[in-house]
Amino acid sequence: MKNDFNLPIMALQKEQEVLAVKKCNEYTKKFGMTLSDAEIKELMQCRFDALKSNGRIEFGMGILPKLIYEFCDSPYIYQDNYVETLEQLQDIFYFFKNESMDELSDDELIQAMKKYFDNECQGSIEYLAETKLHELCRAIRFGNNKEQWEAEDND
Amino acid sequence: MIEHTMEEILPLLARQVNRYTSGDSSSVTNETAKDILASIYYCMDAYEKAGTENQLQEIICQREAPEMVFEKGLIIEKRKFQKAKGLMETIQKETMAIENQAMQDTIYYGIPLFFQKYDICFHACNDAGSIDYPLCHEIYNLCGIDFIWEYLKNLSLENKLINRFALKDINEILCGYSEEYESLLINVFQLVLQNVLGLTILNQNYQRLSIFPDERAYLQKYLEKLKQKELENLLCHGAEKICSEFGLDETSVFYYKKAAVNFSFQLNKNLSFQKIQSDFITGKLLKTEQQTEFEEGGKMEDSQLRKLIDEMKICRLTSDKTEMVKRYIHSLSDLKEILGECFWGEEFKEVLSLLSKEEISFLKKEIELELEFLFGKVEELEPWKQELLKIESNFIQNSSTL
Repeated sequence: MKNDFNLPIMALQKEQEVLAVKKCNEYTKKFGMTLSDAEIKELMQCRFDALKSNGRIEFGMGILPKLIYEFCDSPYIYQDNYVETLEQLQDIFYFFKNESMDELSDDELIQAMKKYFDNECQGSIEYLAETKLHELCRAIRFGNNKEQWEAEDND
Repeated sequence: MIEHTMEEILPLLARQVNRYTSGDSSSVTNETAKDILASIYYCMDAYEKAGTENQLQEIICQREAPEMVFEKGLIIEKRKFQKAKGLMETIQKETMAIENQAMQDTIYYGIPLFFQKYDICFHACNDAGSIDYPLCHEIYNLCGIDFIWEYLKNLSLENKLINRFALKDINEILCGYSEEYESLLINVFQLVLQNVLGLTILNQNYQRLSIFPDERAYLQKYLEKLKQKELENLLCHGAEKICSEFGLDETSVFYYKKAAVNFSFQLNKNLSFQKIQSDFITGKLLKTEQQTEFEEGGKMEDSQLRKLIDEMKICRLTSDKTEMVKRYIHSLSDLKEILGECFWGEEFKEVLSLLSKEEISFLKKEIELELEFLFGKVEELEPWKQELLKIESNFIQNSSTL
Protein backbone atom coordinates (compact mmCIF):
# COMPACT_ATOMS: atom_id res chain seq x y z
CA MET A 1 0.00 0.00 0.00
CA LYS A 2 1.18 3.51 -0.78
CA ASN A 3 1.59 5.30 2.54
CA ASP A 4 3.10 8.59 1.47
CA PHE A 5 -0.05 10.38 0.44
CA ASN A 6 0.93 13.77 1.91
CA LEU A 7 2.62 15.08 -1.23
CA PRO A 8 -0.21 14.75 -3.77
CA ILE A 9 -2.64 16.08 -1.18
CA MET A 10 -0.47 19.13 -0.63
CA ALA A 11 -0.33 19.85 -4.34
CA LEU A 12 -4.08 19.46 -4.78
CA GLN A 13 -5.11 21.49 -1.79
CA LYS A 14 -2.66 24.38 -1.82
CA GLU A 15 -4.30 26.45 -4.52
CA GLN A 16 -7.83 26.11 -3.16
CA GLU A 17 -6.65 26.92 0.31
CA VAL A 18 -4.81 30.07 -0.66
CA LEU A 19 -8.02 31.32 -2.24
CA ALA A 20 -10.06 30.48 0.87
CA VAL A 21 -7.61 32.29 3.19
CA LYS A 22 -7.48 35.30 0.87
CA LYS A 23 -11.24 35.49 1.09
CA CYS A 24 -10.92 35.83 4.90
CA ASN A 25 -9.12 39.14 4.39
CA GLU A 26 -12.40 40.71 3.31
CA TYR A 27 -13.87 39.91 6.74
CA THR A 28 -10.79 40.62 8.89
CA LYS A 29 -10.22 44.01 7.27
CA LYS A 30 -12.73 45.58 9.62
CA PHE A 31 -10.58 44.45 12.58
CA GLY A 32 -7.54 46.02 10.95
CA MET A 33 -5.82 42.80 9.97
CA THR A 34 -4.98 41.33 6.58
CA LEU A 35 -2.61 38.72 5.23
CA SER A 36 -0.35 39.25 2.22
CA ASP A 37 0.21 36.46 -0.34
CA ALA A 38 3.67 35.79 1.11
CA GLU A 39 2.24 35.53 4.61
CA ILE A 40 -0.48 33.17 3.43
CA LYS A 41 2.14 30.93 1.82
CA GLU A 42 4.16 31.01 5.03
CA LEU A 43 1.09 30.02 7.03
CA MET A 44 0.36 27.19 4.56
CA GLN A 45 3.86 25.86 4.97
CA CYS A 46 3.56 26.08 8.76
CA ARG A 47 0.30 24.15 8.57
CA PHE A 48 1.88 21.29 6.64
CA ASP A 49 4.82 21.27 9.06
CA ALA A 50 2.42 21.18 12.01
CA LEU A 51 0.44 18.34 10.44
CA LYS A 52 3.59 16.40 9.75
CA SER A 53 5.10 16.89 13.20
CA ASN A 54 1.80 15.91 14.85
CA GLY A 55 1.29 12.87 12.59
CA ARG A 56 -1.95 14.04 11.07
CA ILE A 57 -3.46 14.39 7.64
CA GLU A 58 -6.04 16.97 6.59
CA PHE A 59 -8.53 17.16 3.77
CA GLY A 60 -10.60 20.06 2.53
CA MET A 61 -9.95 23.71 3.23
CA GLY A 62 -7.85 23.17 6.32
CA ILE A 63 -8.30 24.74 9.71
CA LEU A 64 -6.81 28.16 8.96
CA PRO A 65 -9.97 29.93 7.72
CA LYS A 66 -11.85 28.74 10.81
CA LEU A 67 -9.07 29.97 13.10
CA ILE A 68 -9.01 33.34 11.34
CA TYR A 69 -12.77 33.87 11.61
CA GLU A 70 -12.79 32.85 15.30
CA PHE A 71 -9.73 34.79 16.50
CA CYS A 72 -9.81 37.92 14.34
CA ASP A 73 -11.91 39.82 16.88
CA SER A 74 -9.66 38.95 19.82
CA PRO A 75 -8.40 41.98 21.73
CA TYR A 76 -4.98 40.35 22.00
CA ILE A 77 -4.39 40.01 18.26
CA TYR A 78 -3.32 42.89 16.05
CA GLN A 79 -1.63 43.21 12.69
CA ASP A 80 1.94 42.98 14.07
CA ASN A 81 1.45 39.66 15.85
CA TYR A 82 -1.29 38.34 13.53
CA VAL A 83 0.78 35.89 11.44
CA GLU A 84 2.90 34.71 14.35
CA THR A 85 -0.18 34.08 16.52
CA LEU A 86 -1.95 32.20 13.74
CA GLU A 87 1.10 29.99 13.22
CA GLN A 88 1.21 29.11 16.92
CA LEU A 89 -2.55 28.58 17.11
CA GLN A 90 -2.41 26.20 14.16
CA ASP A 91 0.37 24.26 15.77
CA ILE A 92 -1.30 23.83 19.14
CA PHE A 93 -4.61 23.04 17.45
CA TYR A 94 -3.26 19.88 15.81
CA PHE A 95 -1.31 18.98 18.95
CA PHE A 96 -4.45 19.12 21.11
CA LYS A 97 -6.51 17.26 18.53
CA ASN A 98 -4.15 14.37 19.18
CA GLU A 99 -4.14 14.96 22.93
CA SER A 100 -7.93 14.80 23.04
CA MET A 101 -7.80 11.55 21.03
CA ASP A 102 -10.02 13.23 18.42
CA GLU A 103 -12.86 13.28 20.92
CA LEU A 104 -13.21 17.04 20.52
CA SER A 105 -14.54 18.27 17.19
CA ASP A 106 -12.72 21.09 15.34
CA ASP A 107 -15.33 23.64 16.37
CA GLU A 108 -15.35 22.58 20.03
CA LEU A 109 -11.59 22.84 20.27
CA ILE A 110 -11.39 26.20 18.49
CA GLN A 111 -14.17 27.64 20.67
CA ALA A 112 -12.41 26.44 23.82
CA MET A 113 -9.10 27.89 22.61
CA LYS A 114 -10.71 31.27 21.90
CA LYS A 115 -12.57 31.37 25.21
CA TYR A 116 -9.46 30.78 27.33
CA PHE A 117 -7.17 32.84 25.07
CA ASP A 118 -9.34 35.92 25.52
CA ASN A 119 -10.06 35.37 29.22
CA GLU A 120 -7.81 33.47 31.64
CA CYS A 121 -4.81 33.39 29.34
CA GLN A 122 -5.00 37.04 28.32
CA GLY A 123 -3.53 36.38 24.90
CA SER A 124 -0.72 34.04 26.06
CA ILE A 125 -0.53 30.97 23.84
CA GLU A 126 2.02 29.38 26.16
CA TYR A 127 -0.34 29.68 29.10
CA LEU A 128 -3.23 28.42 26.99
CA ALA A 129 -1.33 25.32 25.90
CA GLU A 130 0.25 24.44 29.20
CA THR A 131 -2.69 24.95 31.50
CA LYS A 132 -6.23 25.13 30.16
CA LEU A 133 -6.03 23.00 27.02
CA HIS A 134 -3.83 20.51 28.78
CA GLU A 135 -6.38 20.12 31.58
CA LEU A 136 -9.29 19.96 29.17
CA CYS A 137 -7.70 17.18 27.10
CA ARG A 138 -6.75 15.24 30.20
CA ALA A 139 -10.37 15.39 31.37
CA ILE A 140 -11.51 14.22 27.93
CA ARG A 141 -9.12 11.27 28.05
CA PHE A 142 -10.56 10.32 31.43
CA GLY A 143 -13.97 10.08 29.83
CA ASN A 144 -15.54 13.46 30.65
CA ASN A 145 -17.04 15.60 27.94
CA LYS A 146 -16.24 19.26 27.35
CA GLU A 147 -19.34 20.57 29.11
CA GLN A 148 -18.70 18.47 32.22
CA TRP A 149 -15.14 19.73 32.45
CA GLU A 150 -16.17 23.34 31.95
CA ALA A 151 -18.78 23.02 34.68
CA GLU A 152 -16.19 21.53 37.07
CA ASP A 153 -13.66 24.18 36.05
CA ASN A 154 -16.12 27.01 36.78
CA ASP A 155 -16.82 25.55 40.24
CA MET B 1 -5.05 -6.47 -10.32
CA ILE B 2 -5.92 -2.91 -11.31
CA GLU B 3 -3.79 -0.17 -9.79
CA HIS B 4 -5.59 3.11 -9.39
CA THR B 5 -3.31 6.10 -8.97
CA MET B 6 -3.18 7.98 -5.69
CA GLU B 7 -4.67 11.06 -7.38
CA GLU B 8 -7.70 8.95 -8.37
CA ILE B 9 -8.09 7.50 -4.88
CA LEU B 10 -7.63 10.75 -2.95
CA PRO B 11 -11.10 12.25 -3.47
CA LEU B 12 -12.55 8.92 -2.31
CA LEU B 13 -10.26 8.94 0.72
CA ALA B 14 -11.30 12.53 1.52
CA ARG B 15 -14.97 11.50 1.29
CA GLN B 16 -14.44 8.50 3.55
CA VAL B 17 -12.49 10.56 6.10
CA ASN B 18 -15.34 13.05 6.13
CA ARG B 19 -17.78 10.19 6.75
CA TYR B 20 -15.55 8.81 9.47
CA THR B 21 -15.44 12.09 11.39
CA SER B 22 -19.09 12.88 10.52
CA GLY B 23 -17.81 16.23 9.28
CA ASP B 24 -16.71 17.18 12.81
CA SER B 25 -13.03 17.18 12.06
CA SER B 26 -11.08 18.18 8.98
CA SER B 27 -8.02 16.15 9.97
CA VAL B 28 -7.33 12.64 11.21
CA THR B 29 -4.22 10.90 12.49
CA ASN B 30 -1.98 9.20 9.94
CA GLU B 31 -2.90 5.81 11.40
CA THR B 32 -6.61 6.44 10.92
CA ALA B 33 -6.03 7.67 7.37
CA LYS B 34 -3.97 4.56 6.62
CA ASP B 35 -6.73 2.32 7.99
CA ILE B 36 -9.35 4.08 5.90
CA LEU B 37 -7.17 3.92 2.79
CA ALA B 38 -6.50 0.23 3.41
CA SER B 39 -10.26 -0.33 3.72
CA ILE B 40 -10.79 1.36 0.36
CA TYR B 41 -8.22 -0.90 -1.30
CA TYR B 42 -9.68 -3.90 0.52
CA CYS B 43 -13.16 -3.34 -0.90
CA MET B 44 -11.84 -2.52 -4.36
CA ASP B 45 -9.80 -5.74 -4.33
CA ALA B 46 -12.93 -7.68 -3.32
CA TYR B 47 -14.79 -6.38 -6.36
CA GLU B 48 -11.90 -7.12 -8.68
CA LYS B 49 -11.42 -10.62 -7.23
CA ALA B 50 -15.14 -11.37 -7.41
CA GLY B 51 -14.97 -11.40 -11.17
CA THR B 52 -11.80 -13.40 -11.69
CA GLU B 53 -13.69 -16.08 -13.61
CA ASN B 54 -14.87 -13.41 -15.98
CA GLN B 55 -11.76 -11.86 -17.50
CA LEU B 56 -13.77 -8.92 -18.77
CA GLN B 57 -14.17 -7.82 -15.13
CA GLU B 58 -10.66 -6.41 -15.12
CA ILE B 59 -11.35 -4.27 -18.16
CA ILE B 60 -14.64 -3.10 -16.67
CA CYS B 61 -12.87 -2.17 -13.41
CA GLN B 62 -10.36 -0.12 -15.32
CA ARG B 63 -13.15 1.91 -16.90
CA GLU B 64 -15.15 2.37 -13.70
CA ALA B 65 -14.43 5.23 -11.31
CA PRO B 66 -12.75 4.20 -8.04
CA GLU B 67 -15.86 5.31 -6.14
CA MET B 68 -18.00 2.84 -8.08
CA VAL B 69 -15.51 0.01 -7.67
CA PHE B 70 -15.31 0.75 -3.95
CA GLU B 71 -19.09 0.84 -3.48
CA LYS B 72 -19.57 -2.43 -5.33
CA GLY B 73 -16.75 -4.05 -3.38
CA LEU B 74 -18.32 -2.80 -0.16
CA ILE B 75 -21.61 -4.51 -1.06
CA ILE B 76 -19.75 -7.78 -1.73
CA GLU B 77 -17.95 -7.59 1.59
CA LYS B 78 -21.13 -6.71 3.49
CA ARG B 79 -22.84 -9.77 2.00
CA LYS B 80 -19.86 -11.88 2.99
CA PHE B 81 -20.15 -10.49 6.52
CA GLN B 82 -23.80 -11.59 6.75
CA LYS B 83 -23.01 -15.01 5.30
CA ALA B 84 -20.16 -15.45 7.75
CA LYS B 85 -22.41 -14.47 10.63
CA GLY B 86 -24.92 -17.14 9.58
CA LEU B 87 -22.16 -19.72 9.31
CA MET B 88 -20.90 -18.77 12.76
CA GLU B 89 -24.36 -19.34 14.24
CA THR B 90 -24.57 -22.77 12.56
CA ILE B 91 -21.13 -23.69 13.88
CA GLN B 92 -22.10 -22.58 17.38
CA LYS B 93 -25.12 -24.86 17.27
CA GLU B 94 -23.14 -27.82 15.92
CA THR B 95 -20.02 -27.58 18.03
CA MET B 96 -19.75 -30.08 20.84
CA ALA B 97 -18.68 -29.15 24.36
CA ILE B 98 -15.12 -30.37 23.80
CA GLU B 99 -13.02 -29.59 26.83
CA ASN B 100 -10.55 -27.25 25.19
CA GLN B 101 -10.62 -23.68 26.36
CA ALA B 102 -9.13 -22.12 23.21
CA MET B 103 -11.72 -23.86 21.03
CA GLN B 104 -14.71 -22.95 23.19
CA ASP B 105 -13.53 -19.37 23.77
CA THR B 106 -12.90 -18.78 20.08
CA ILE B 107 -16.25 -20.14 18.96
CA TYR B 108 -18.44 -18.66 21.67
CA TYR B 109 -16.55 -15.48 22.52
CA GLY B 110 -13.75 -14.56 20.06
CA ILE B 111 -15.62 -14.87 16.78
CA PRO B 112 -18.86 -13.20 18.00
CA LEU B 113 -16.65 -10.36 19.25
CA PHE B 114 -15.41 -9.93 15.70
CA PHE B 115 -18.95 -9.51 14.42
CA GLN B 116 -19.68 -6.94 17.12
CA LYS B 117 -16.61 -4.81 16.50
CA TYR B 118 -15.69 -5.22 12.86
CA ASP B 119 -15.98 -2.07 10.74
CA ILE B 120 -15.75 -2.82 7.04
CA CYS B 121 -15.89 0.85 5.93
CA PHE B 122 -13.06 2.24 8.01
CA HIS B 123 -11.09 -0.61 9.57
CA ALA B 124 -11.52 -3.46 7.09
CA CYS B 125 -8.07 -4.95 7.68
CA ASN B 126 -8.30 -5.05 11.46
CA ASP B 127 -8.73 -8.44 13.04
CA ALA B 128 -11.30 -7.33 15.56
CA GLY B 129 -12.06 -10.71 17.15
CA SER B 130 -10.00 -12.90 19.41
CA ILE B 131 -9.09 -16.03 17.45
CA ASP B 132 -6.84 -18.35 19.43
CA TYR B 133 -7.92 -21.82 18.35
CA PRO B 134 -5.52 -23.06 15.66
CA LEU B 135 -6.95 -24.73 12.58
CA CYS B 136 -5.36 -27.69 10.88
CA HIS B 137 -4.22 -25.48 7.98
CA GLU B 138 -3.05 -22.03 8.84
CA ILE B 139 -4.61 -19.18 6.86
CA TYR B 140 -2.10 -16.86 5.23
CA ASN B 141 -2.36 -13.43 3.58
CA LEU B 142 -5.94 -12.74 4.61
CA CYS B 143 -7.33 -10.24 7.07
CA GLY B 144 -10.65 -8.84 8.22
CA ILE B 145 -13.84 -10.53 7.06
CA ASP B 146 -11.98 -12.52 4.38
CA PHE B 147 -9.94 -14.16 7.12
CA ILE B 148 -12.97 -14.88 9.31
CA TRP B 149 -14.94 -16.28 6.37
CA GLU B 150 -12.09 -18.62 5.46
CA TYR B 151 -11.60 -19.55 9.12
CA LEU B 152 -15.28 -20.38 9.59
CA LYS B 153 -15.44 -22.43 6.37
CA ASN B 154 -12.44 -24.48 7.47
CA LEU B 155 -13.79 -24.86 11.01
CA SER B 156 -17.04 -26.13 9.56
CA LEU B 157 -15.15 -28.71 7.47
CA GLU B 158 -13.28 -29.83 10.57
CA ASN B 159 -16.49 -30.12 12.57
CA LYS B 160 -17.93 -32.47 9.97
CA LEU B 161 -15.47 -35.12 11.12
CA ILE B 162 -15.43 -34.26 14.82
CA ASN B 163 -19.22 -34.39 15.08
CA ARG B 164 -19.25 -38.04 13.97
CA PHE B 165 -17.78 -39.14 17.28
CA ALA B 166 -18.99 -39.22 20.85
CA LEU B 167 -17.95 -36.26 22.94
CA LYS B 168 -16.56 -38.50 25.66
CA ASP B 169 -14.31 -40.36 23.20
CA ILE B 170 -12.92 -37.11 21.80
CA ASN B 171 -12.22 -35.74 25.25
CA GLU B 172 -10.49 -38.99 26.19
CA ILE B 173 -8.29 -38.77 23.09
CA LEU B 174 -7.34 -35.22 24.03
CA CYS B 175 -6.57 -36.39 27.55
CA GLY B 176 -4.46 -39.19 26.11
CA TYR B 177 -2.55 -36.63 24.07
CA SER B 178 -1.80 -34.49 27.10
CA GLU B 179 -3.29 -34.17 30.56
CA GLU B 180 -3.19 -30.40 30.05
CA TYR B 181 -5.52 -30.75 27.07
CA GLU B 182 -7.95 -28.17 28.40
CA SER B 183 -5.52 -25.29 28.13
CA LEU B 184 -3.40 -26.39 25.14
CA LEU B 185 -3.54 -24.66 21.77
CA ILE B 186 -4.15 -27.86 19.80
CA ASN B 187 -6.24 -28.66 16.77
CA VAL B 188 -8.82 -31.27 17.77
CA PHE B 189 -9.61 -32.24 14.17
CA GLN B 190 -5.96 -33.12 13.48
CA LEU B 191 -5.80 -35.48 16.47
CA VAL B 192 -9.11 -37.11 15.63
CA LEU B 193 -8.17 -37.53 11.98
CA GLN B 194 -4.81 -39.08 12.89
CA ASN B 195 -6.48 -41.71 15.02
CA VAL B 196 -9.17 -42.39 12.44
CA LEU B 197 -6.47 -42.84 9.80
CA GLY B 198 -4.65 -45.21 12.16
CA LEU B 199 -7.82 -47.24 12.69
CA THR B 200 -8.38 -47.32 8.91
CA ILE B 201 -4.95 -48.80 8.41
CA LEU B 202 -5.69 -51.32 11.18
CA ASN B 203 -9.02 -52.04 9.54
CA GLN B 204 -10.80 -51.43 12.84
CA ASN B 205 -14.06 -49.69 13.66
CA TYR B 206 -13.51 -45.88 13.72
CA GLN B 207 -16.09 -45.18 16.34
CA ARG B 208 -14.02 -46.21 19.30
CA LEU B 209 -11.42 -43.65 18.21
CA SER B 210 -8.80 -44.81 20.68
CA ILE B 211 -5.79 -46.82 19.47
CA PHE B 212 -4.50 -49.37 21.95
CA PRO B 213 -0.77 -49.77 22.70
CA ASP B 214 -0.48 -53.15 20.96
CA GLU B 215 -2.15 -51.67 17.87
CA ARG B 216 0.29 -48.79 17.97
CA ALA B 217 3.17 -51.25 18.12
CA TYR B 218 1.75 -52.97 15.06
CA LEU B 219 1.42 -49.63 13.23
CA GLN B 220 5.05 -48.80 14.08
CA LYS B 221 6.22 -52.09 12.60
CA TYR B 222 4.01 -51.82 9.55
CA LEU B 223 4.56 -48.14 8.72
CA GLU B 224 8.28 -47.83 9.41
CA LYS B 225 8.98 -49.94 6.35
CA LEU B 226 7.23 -47.45 4.08
CA LYS B 227 8.91 -44.57 2.27
CA GLN B 228 7.59 -41.03 2.62
CA LYS B 229 5.70 -41.15 -0.68
CA GLU B 230 4.14 -44.54 0.14
CA LEU B 231 3.12 -43.29 3.56
CA GLU B 232 1.61 -40.18 2.00
CA ASN B 233 -0.36 -42.27 -0.50
CA LEU B 234 -1.57 -44.64 2.20
CA LEU B 235 -2.81 -41.80 4.41
CA CYS B 236 -4.41 -39.93 1.47
CA HIS B 237 -6.19 -43.11 0.48
CA GLY B 238 -7.37 -43.44 4.09
CA ALA B 239 -8.63 -39.84 4.08
CA GLU B 240 -10.55 -40.49 0.85
CA LYS B 241 -12.05 -43.63 2.35
CA ILE B 242 -13.18 -41.78 5.47
CA CYS B 243 -14.78 -39.02 3.40
CA SER B 244 -16.65 -41.47 1.19
CA GLU B 245 -17.86 -43.48 4.20
CA PHE B 246 -19.09 -40.33 5.92
CA GLY B 247 -20.55 -39.00 2.67
CA LEU B 248 -18.51 -35.78 2.70
CA ASP B 249 -18.19 -33.47 -0.28
CA GLU B 250 -15.23 -32.68 -2.57
CA THR B 251 -14.10 -29.68 -0.51
CA SER B 252 -13.82 -31.89 2.56
CA VAL B 253 -11.91 -34.54 0.61
CA PHE B 254 -9.40 -31.91 -0.51
CA TYR B 255 -9.07 -30.50 3.02
CA TYR B 256 -8.71 -33.92 4.68
CA LYS B 257 -6.20 -35.13 2.10
CA LYS B 258 -4.11 -32.01 2.63
CA ALA B 259 -4.19 -32.73 6.38
CA ALA B 260 -3.20 -36.35 5.67
CA VAL B 261 -0.21 -35.19 3.59
CA ASN B 262 0.96 -32.87 6.37
CA PHE B 263 0.49 -35.69 8.86
CA SER B 264 2.59 -38.06 6.73
CA PHE B 265 5.68 -35.85 7.15
CA GLN B 266 5.21 -35.61 10.91
CA LEU B 267 4.54 -39.35 11.17
CA ASN B 268 7.52 -40.31 9.04
CA LYS B 269 9.78 -38.36 11.35
CA ASN B 270 8.24 -39.79 14.51
CA LEU B 271 8.38 -43.35 13.12
CA SER B 272 12.13 -43.02 12.71
CA PHE B 273 12.41 -42.05 16.40
CA GLN B 274 9.90 -44.75 17.37
CA LYS B 275 7.76 -42.12 19.07
CA ILE B 276 4.28 -42.29 17.65
CA GLN B 277 2.38 -42.00 20.94
CA SER B 278 1.16 -38.53 20.03
CA ASP B 279 0.31 -39.57 16.46
CA PHE B 280 -1.84 -42.57 17.32
CA ILE B 281 -3.29 -41.79 20.70
CA THR B 282 -4.68 -44.08 23.37
CA GLY B 283 -7.68 -42.52 25.05
CA LYS B 284 -7.30 -41.79 28.72
CA LEU B 285 -9.91 -41.43 31.43
CA LEU B 286 -10.83 -37.77 31.84
CA LYS B 287 -9.60 -35.71 34.75
CA THR B 288 -13.12 -35.16 36.04
CA GLU B 289 -13.90 -38.87 35.96
CA GLN B 290 -10.63 -39.73 37.62
CA GLN B 291 -11.50 -37.37 40.44
CA THR B 292 -15.08 -38.55 40.86
CA GLU B 293 -14.35 -42.23 41.35
CA PHE B 294 -16.92 -43.86 43.59
CA GLU B 295 -16.09 -44.02 47.28
CA GLU B 296 -17.98 -46.32 49.57
CA GLY B 297 -19.51 -44.61 52.62
CA GLY B 298 -19.83 -46.00 56.17
CA LYS B 299 -21.77 -49.23 56.56
CA MET B 300 -24.42 -49.74 59.21
CA GLU B 301 -24.19 -52.34 61.97
CA ASP B 302 -26.05 -55.54 60.95
CA SER B 303 -28.50 -55.28 63.86
CA GLN B 304 -29.26 -51.63 63.06
CA LEU B 305 -29.74 -52.47 59.38
CA ARG B 306 -32.12 -55.33 60.26
CA LYS B 307 -34.12 -52.98 62.49
CA LEU B 308 -34.33 -50.42 59.70
CA ILE B 309 -35.46 -53.04 57.16
CA ASP B 310 -38.23 -54.20 59.51
CA GLU B 311 -39.34 -50.64 60.04
CA MET B 312 -39.37 -49.90 56.31
CA LYS B 313 -41.30 -53.06 55.54
CA ILE B 314 -44.26 -51.84 57.55
CA CYS B 315 -44.02 -48.33 56.11
CA ARG B 316 -46.81 -47.66 53.58
CA LEU B 317 -45.68 -44.45 51.87
CA THR B 318 -42.80 -44.51 49.36
CA SER B 319 -41.88 -40.94 50.23
CA ASP B 320 -41.33 -41.97 53.86
CA LYS B 321 -39.20 -44.90 52.80
CA THR B 322 -37.02 -42.75 50.51
CA GLU B 323 -36.66 -40.24 53.33
CA MET B 324 -35.36 -43.03 55.56
CA VAL B 325 -32.90 -44.08 52.87
CA LYS B 326 -31.66 -40.50 52.59
CA ARG B 327 -31.25 -40.23 56.34
CA TYR B 328 -29.77 -43.59 57.36
CA ILE B 329 -28.14 -45.24 54.34
CA HIS B 330 -24.61 -44.13 53.52
CA SER B 331 -23.19 -47.12 51.70
CA LEU B 332 -24.16 -48.93 48.50
CA SER B 333 -23.96 -52.38 50.10
CA ASP B 334 -26.59 -51.33 52.66
CA LEU B 335 -28.67 -49.83 49.88
CA LYS B 336 -28.55 -53.07 47.89
CA GLU B 337 -29.97 -54.93 50.91
CA ILE B 338 -32.72 -52.36 51.33
CA LEU B 339 -33.59 -52.37 47.62
CA GLY B 340 -33.88 -56.14 47.64
CA GLU B 341 -36.22 -56.27 50.63
CA CYS B 342 -38.18 -53.05 51.02
CA PHE B 343 -39.04 -51.70 47.56
CA TRP B 344 -41.29 -52.95 44.76
CA GLY B 345 -42.32 -52.01 41.22
CA GLU B 346 -42.46 -48.29 40.56
CA GLU B 347 -40.76 -47.49 43.87
CA PHE B 348 -37.34 -48.46 42.49
CA LYS B 349 -37.26 -45.47 40.17
CA GLU B 350 -37.65 -43.08 43.09
CA VAL B 351 -34.88 -44.64 45.11
CA LEU B 352 -32.52 -44.93 42.15
CA SER B 353 -33.10 -41.29 41.27
CA LEU B 354 -31.39 -40.43 44.57
CA LEU B 355 -28.13 -41.91 43.28
CA SER B 356 -25.38 -39.99 41.50
CA LYS B 357 -24.11 -40.89 38.02
CA GLU B 358 -20.99 -42.48 39.51
CA GLU B 359 -23.01 -44.60 41.93
CA ILE B 360 -25.30 -45.81 39.13
CA SER B 361 -22.38 -46.70 36.87
CA PHE B 362 -20.69 -48.56 39.78
CA LEU B 363 -23.83 -50.60 40.43
CA LYS B 364 -24.28 -51.18 36.71
CA LYS B 365 -20.81 -52.65 36.39
CA GLU B 366 -21.55 -55.07 39.24
CA ILE B 367 -24.85 -56.10 37.63
CA GLU B 368 -23.21 -56.64 34.24
CA LEU B 369 -20.66 -58.92 35.88
CA GLU B 370 -23.47 -60.87 37.49
CA LEU B 371 -25.24 -61.07 34.13
CA GLU B 372 -22.21 -62.75 32.63
CA PHE B 373 -22.56 -65.56 35.21
CA LEU B 374 -26.25 -65.82 34.38
CA PHE B 375 -25.42 -66.13 30.67
CA GLY B 376 -27.19 -62.84 29.95
CA LYS B 377 -30.57 -63.90 31.38
CA VAL B 378 -31.88 -60.56 32.63
CA GLU B 379 -35.08 -62.06 33.99
CA GLU B 380 -33.06 -64.02 36.58
CA LEU B 381 -31.76 -60.81 38.12
CA GLU B 382 -33.39 -59.29 41.19
CA PRO B 383 -36.22 -56.84 40.20
CA TRP B 384 -34.33 -53.68 41.31
CA LYS B 385 -31.35 -54.71 39.19
CA GLN B 386 -33.55 -55.14 36.14
CA GLU B 387 -35.01 -51.72 36.80
CA LEU B 388 -31.56 -50.14 37.10
CA LEU B 389 -30.53 -51.59 33.74
CA LYS B 390 -33.68 -50.16 32.17
CA ILE B 391 -33.00 -46.71 33.63
CA GLU B 392 -29.44 -46.82 32.35
CA SER B 393 -30.41 -47.80 28.81
CA ASN B 394 -33.15 -45.12 28.74
CA PHE B 395 -30.62 -42.56 29.88
CA ILE B 396 -28.23 -43.49 27.06
CA GLN B 397 -31.03 -43.39 24.49
CA ASN B 398 -32.18 -39.97 25.67
CA SER B 399 -28.73 -38.48 25.67
CA SER B 400 -27.99 -39.80 22.17
CA THR B 401 -31.16 -38.21 20.79
CA LEU B 402 -30.32 -34.79 22.27
